[in-house]
Amino acid sequence: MVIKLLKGYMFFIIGLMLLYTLRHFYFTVQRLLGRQKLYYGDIITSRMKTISVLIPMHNEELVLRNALDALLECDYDRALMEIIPINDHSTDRTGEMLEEYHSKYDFIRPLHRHTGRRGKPSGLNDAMKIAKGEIIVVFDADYRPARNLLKQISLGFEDPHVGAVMGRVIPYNANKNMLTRLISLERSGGYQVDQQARYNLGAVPQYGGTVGGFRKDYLLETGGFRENILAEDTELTYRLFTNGWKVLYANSAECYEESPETWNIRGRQIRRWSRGHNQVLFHYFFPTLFSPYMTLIQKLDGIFLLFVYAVPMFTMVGWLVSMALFFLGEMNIMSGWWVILFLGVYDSFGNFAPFFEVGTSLVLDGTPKEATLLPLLMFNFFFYMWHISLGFFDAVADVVTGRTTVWDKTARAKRSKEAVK
Amino acid sequence: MNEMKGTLLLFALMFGLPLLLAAAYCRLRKSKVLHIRQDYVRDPRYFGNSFRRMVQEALPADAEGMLHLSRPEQCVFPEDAGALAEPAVDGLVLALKGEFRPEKPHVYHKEIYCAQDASLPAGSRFRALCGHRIALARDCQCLRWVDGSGAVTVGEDCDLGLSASSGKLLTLGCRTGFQRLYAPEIRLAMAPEGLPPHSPVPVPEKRNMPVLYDLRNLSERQSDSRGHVSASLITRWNLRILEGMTVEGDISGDRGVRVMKNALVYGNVFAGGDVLLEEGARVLGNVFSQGSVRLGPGASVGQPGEIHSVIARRKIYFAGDNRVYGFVSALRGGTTGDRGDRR
Amino acid sequence: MTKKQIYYSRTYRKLRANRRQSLILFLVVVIPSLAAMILFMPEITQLFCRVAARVLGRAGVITVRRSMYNKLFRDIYYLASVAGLPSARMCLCNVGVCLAVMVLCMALPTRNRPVSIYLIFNAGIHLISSLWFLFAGWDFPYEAPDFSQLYLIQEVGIWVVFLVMTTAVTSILGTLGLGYKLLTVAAVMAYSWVFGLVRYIVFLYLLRRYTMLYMTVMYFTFGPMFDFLYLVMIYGWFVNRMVKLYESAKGKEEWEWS
Repeated sequence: MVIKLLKGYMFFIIGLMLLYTLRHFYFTVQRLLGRQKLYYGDIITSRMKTISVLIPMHNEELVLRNALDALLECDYDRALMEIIPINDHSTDRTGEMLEEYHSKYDFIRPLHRHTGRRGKPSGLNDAMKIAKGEIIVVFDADYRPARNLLKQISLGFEDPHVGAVMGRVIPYNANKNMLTRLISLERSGGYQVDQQARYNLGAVPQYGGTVGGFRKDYLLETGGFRENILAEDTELTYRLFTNGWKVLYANSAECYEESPETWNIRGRQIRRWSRGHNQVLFHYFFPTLFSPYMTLIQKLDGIFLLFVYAVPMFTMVGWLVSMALFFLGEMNIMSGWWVILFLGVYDSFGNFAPFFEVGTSLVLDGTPKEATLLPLLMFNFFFYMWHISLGFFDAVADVVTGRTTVWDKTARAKRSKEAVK
Repeated sequence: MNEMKGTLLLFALMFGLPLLLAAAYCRLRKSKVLHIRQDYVRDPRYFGNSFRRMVQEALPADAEGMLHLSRPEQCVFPEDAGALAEPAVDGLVLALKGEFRPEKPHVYHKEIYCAQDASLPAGSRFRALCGHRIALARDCQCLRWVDGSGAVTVGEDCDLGLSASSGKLLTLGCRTGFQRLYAPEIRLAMAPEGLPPHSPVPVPEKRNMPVLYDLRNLSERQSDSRGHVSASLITRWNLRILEGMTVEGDISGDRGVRVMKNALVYGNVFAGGDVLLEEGARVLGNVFSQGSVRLGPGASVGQPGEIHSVIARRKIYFAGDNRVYGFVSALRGGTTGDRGDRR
Repeated sequence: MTKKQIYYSRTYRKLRANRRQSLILFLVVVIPSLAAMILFMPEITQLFCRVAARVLGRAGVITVRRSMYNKLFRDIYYLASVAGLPSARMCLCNVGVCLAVMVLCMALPTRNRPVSIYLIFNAGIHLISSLWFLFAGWDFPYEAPDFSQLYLIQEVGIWVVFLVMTTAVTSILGTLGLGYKLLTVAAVMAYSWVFGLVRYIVFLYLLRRYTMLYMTVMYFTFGPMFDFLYLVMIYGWFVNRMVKLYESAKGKEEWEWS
């Protein structure tokens, strides 16, 4: 009986891996050869929407000038925009520096939070209450928007069906070390291929929480961001789709970001993403399945997406189960399938985009020679499997204990003056 | 035993080669960070404006008649005798004095820069042209772009290349092909006497407008006594706005949208499929289609004093007597029809 | 006049699709190769075993060639050899080393690096194996011939999967570079065959020399996971060539917009 259960689990995980691999392969083919849905960025209109740019900041004295100076260069009509940097319990000079900007530019209106719950969702909720714009655009403090980026994002909301818009992030510190190089590869595959393919197919492109925007009124009507869910961006994505909105992915709305430069920071980031994403899984699995507004393809892709941060944990269990089967002498049955297990494991979860998605994105981007780094992603598989699994267990513990989550911000690099040419 | 040692060595080598190569590459070579044009600002008259700027900064030409742009260009000055004697003109045409009005059609292999007005006779072929007021007679072919700071008038059976733009008014004749157009007002396949101009229509605030979902036809049942629907429409199906209806909000359809005769949409129209504006239909906002867009006779997009866009991932067809106030873009190309095409 | 030349930016460009060509390429490569594998698997594995037996024989490892029947491939040959059980002392040493590796990896500041986590995982696997052999070695369910069988079946699976996979991921990359595509598939299969053979020899040698204690780690740690390394390496070379090709003057004409 036990052996049957273990074998059954192996068949389940292998089947799951295969499905994810096929899904990713389909996305790759679609992005490379299929019809590309255009974003609305080419629209020229004199009737632009009012926007509020929110920038959550916790101890961002090293980087905040980059974001604010870049925003000051943006070509959006200043009469239609405001910038609200959210000084969230900072202990460095963040508050002081923001007040300097406010004294020079009255449309930069910092919000200083020294009481109340710390964290991005809480900060955004407080800022939305004072924001005047119809559209909220969110940037992280280390981002460097191009001059036309605000227009690009805002144009998406000319479509009344659109609840959120997501752009593409590009790490500018890719050359810092091996970690940043690998993250750059993953980002490339994830955005250029995965997100764009999902947009093309009318599936579920994900709002990523930065370099993007959403409709303020809808958020406020539905209670704002859930402060106990760490992946507020994923939660918003599902809240929108299950209630009849759509999320646009704007491949042309590109922005530089600073990716984590140490494995410790990256590990904590991944764990937080996993925890938050799995919190969303627990909340939205059934609503996604039974939403009257979502098409079949959206439901299918939505379910796949929900489980993205759960499958590494299943994989880890799969490893243990396969070891158990090995010691129980059952590998004769499994040996032929073992390859397929690893096929799926490596392809789908060795990284945030399988190797062929990353390769395809490099061709689309015209990036020479970086494909040489692909074998290094192999070790990432264990790293991600470990931290994602920890995040999964954190999320389970959150549900079981009902505990309050504490926001763990991604630390910045000590120097952040690298010029963006 | 030596064979075994060799095998062990080979194993270690084959085993470690992928990682060693990757690690060595990572250490020795930097990656190319994707370039984002941080200072890019959209200019619908980019070609003309940037070319004008480039020429004006490079003037005057040197003694040998060379103008130093991104590379030295041999210039042709039309006021010089015999400058346009040959049917093909190989140099960059610089019409700095007076209007540029060649008598015969030529093939201009390089750009034409006119400080003042320009008028090309029927059958002319040119790469690009900028000037103040521009008139292209019938059967002119532009390879790249044409831009006028004043009115630009294009005759019938022309091909406008990648972009045609004007700072004032752009008029296209029948059966003319284009890809992108821009002007505060664009008249397409319009009768010589023109149609009466549109009066600006005040557009109500759409922000808190209710939304009607999943309609297939918008009819009187959803409207008030004036035939107005004060809502935005979102639908997964093909949608028809029936004749004479007015939609005060925006429209977003996953498939096709058909705005029937004399119907009016105050806001934008977005469609996953084709968009059809029938005779006399008006959309005061933008029209965006992942398919094709067709405007029937007298249909228009936008309104005076505002800039809006018509964008199609595939083609755009203007049957005749059409107006667009702003920008037109058809990725697979667009054409104007024969005036009065009622298809 | 020269023709219009527009170089499309990365945002919405895509390659000119010739689905028929891609499908034909896929079928022309995969079907005959699979057919050849099915028809000639006994000969392929015989050759495999012959070479391995010769090298092992010269290193003092006696092997006997046997075959197992597979419905699809008919006879798959493998080498049966002998491997002993580890002594308690050997097991204890290995337990100690595993624990040391795990503790070091967890204690050092580099504990959060992928390599450390990888080492912890695999030290854990070997630790379990060592403890098993320490306390229940007689109950270990495999002999060396069993391992050899499993290995060969696994290799056959790798050949089939890698053939299909490599052809699939290369054939979709547009209409250019047919030579590179074929070369990539050939390189992956050649590397797979040679590496599979070399690893087979090494594994059987180590099992004979150092007992079955290392069988688990051979299977889990140095198994198919590492096959993907060379597949990805060769695929990476292929992608680099394709990037260069599609950024060349000729290649740029293959791009379409939207």
